[in-house]
Amino acid sequence: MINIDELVSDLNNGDEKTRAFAAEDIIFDKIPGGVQLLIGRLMIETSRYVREVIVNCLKGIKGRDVVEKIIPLLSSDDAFIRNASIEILSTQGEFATEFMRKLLGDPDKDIRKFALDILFQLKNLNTAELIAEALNDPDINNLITAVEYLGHMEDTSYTYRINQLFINTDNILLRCTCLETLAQIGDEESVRYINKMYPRYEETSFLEQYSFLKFVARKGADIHLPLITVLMEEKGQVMPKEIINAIEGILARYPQEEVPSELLQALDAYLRTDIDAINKYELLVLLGRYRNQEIYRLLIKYLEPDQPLICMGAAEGLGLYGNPEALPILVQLKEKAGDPDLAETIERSISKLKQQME
Amino acid sequence: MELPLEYFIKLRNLIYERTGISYEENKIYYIKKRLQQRMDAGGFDKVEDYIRHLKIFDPQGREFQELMNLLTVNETYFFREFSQLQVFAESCLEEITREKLAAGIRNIKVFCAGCSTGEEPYTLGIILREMLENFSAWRVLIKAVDIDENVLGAARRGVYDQRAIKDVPQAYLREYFTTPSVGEYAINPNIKDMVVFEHLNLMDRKALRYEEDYDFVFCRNVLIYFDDVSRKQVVDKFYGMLRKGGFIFLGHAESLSRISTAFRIRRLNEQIVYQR
Repeated sequence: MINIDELVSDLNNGDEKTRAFAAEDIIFDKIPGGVQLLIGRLMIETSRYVREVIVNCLKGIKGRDVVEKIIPLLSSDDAFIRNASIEILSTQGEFATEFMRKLLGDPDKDIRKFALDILFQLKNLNTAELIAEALNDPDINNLITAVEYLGHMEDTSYTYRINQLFINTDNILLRCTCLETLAQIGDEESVRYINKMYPRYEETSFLEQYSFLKFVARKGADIHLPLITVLMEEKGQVMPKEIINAIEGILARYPQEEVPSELLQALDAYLRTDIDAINKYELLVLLGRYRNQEIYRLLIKYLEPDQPLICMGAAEGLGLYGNPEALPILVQLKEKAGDPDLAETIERSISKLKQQME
Repeated sequence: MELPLEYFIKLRNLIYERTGISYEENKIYYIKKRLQQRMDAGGFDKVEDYIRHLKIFDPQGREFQELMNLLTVNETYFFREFSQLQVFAESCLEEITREKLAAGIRNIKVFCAGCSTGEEPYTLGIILREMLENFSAWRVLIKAVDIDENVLGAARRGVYDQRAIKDVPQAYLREYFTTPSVGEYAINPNIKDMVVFEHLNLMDRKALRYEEDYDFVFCRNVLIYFDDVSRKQVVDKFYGMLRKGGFIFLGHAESLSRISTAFRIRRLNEQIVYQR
């Protein structure tokens, strides 16, 4: 038999474990008014542990009642309560969606921002449409958030709006966010606008270069390669991932037998710099897919087992490159390879080369 | 299969957001192999399509769980994740015993969640026996629990193959194991008797309520099998079981930062540890 009074009393007990267990039991036993009891306790609770338990309990129940009672907490001065409210509302599915529509019209810009965060996490069918309402938000941060979330949701219905925002804004942060979103959902018009906006590398601000490279990685064309080569030389150490992604993206979209010789020279030099081993691994695998004669020598040069990741990239690249002359070298290397992943990679490349010889 | 770094990072971030498990970039090959298996099973040709599927078209997280099952299929063996055990032995245990001796208390309680076939609790038993000065003066309890009765049976038998003991230092092998037959290693009673095995479902609401005053909770590579809400519930339970100052150990790639803010984060010997 559940003793409601005892549970309520336990929720205010001096011992934190007793309070935590009472919170769990109130929700488990569906005590009438339980949500309000827990919220009341949460507002005065000082133990982080009990607060965590209460929030987790509230996340476990779904319904309008919870949503209605939690929404006012978004205005709390306590950051834990605000964040907890976002977490709880984000688990409420359809129950929360309609309430968020109202919050998007709230005069407080922070509340509108929370509504966007919750909608993004809800990921219901209508949420992209609601998030897109914030493309008219007078607050620039909320506008940027909406653009970013629409990109993450890969919803192409709003590409036109974002293209327009991109060309019409003077705000550099909004422009960067548009670039990254258009990398996900951009169309041919986006490519045209962006080429028009950045005709020359010198005219691209440092902050925009990152976002621009992200766009180029997804939507760029071979006309962008010279620009990337310049960036590689000047900024290769600070944004290697963006540069490599952009090169990989363009080469994948515009298949060719050989890497353009200027790009190959730049990549050769890039491999000799201090970029991380993982970046070298990726470049070596990438190069293995192209037929330039120089690439074979380059791959052989990096077959050093004392640097397993780089060696793995070179071995994998040789398997892709397909020159049978590499076979005895790889067989010999495999005997020296201490790293099991490296040995397995070499073995796979050996098999590939043997298959090609048959 | 091609796994450009961009997609590796996307996948890694997704895994971290959902499980708290973080994979370093040098794990790209490890992930690539397992990812390929899941892509083959689901008929995906492109990594980006597979990641999109996980993010958008897998609301129940079924495919995500399949992938995680592959990524976390780990052998269990003695002295696994040695660097973490080193922090336990050389820093945390030292701190706890110092406090206890000052208070005139001589007991140590360890809880081992998801103990499987017993390698971890027995490893902890060996470490405690080695590290505690005047061991016989201490009352030590290692409670090891699992939901699977079959693995508990094997744990209670305490007989292992070569693979399980591959990382046991020779001196400990001689001291704490016998070899009933070729290729078999049986844990000695002096370690076996330190461990109490129990069948327990961590999600049972009341199961851990009466467990208290633990100095250490080990829950390594177990939380991955829970959803977000359940994971938080289990961690809250562990918090309630620990004495103030007690430590919780998760797998070396797991993090509490997205699960609970109740624990104190400390950095000891280049390892992150969480303390009540």
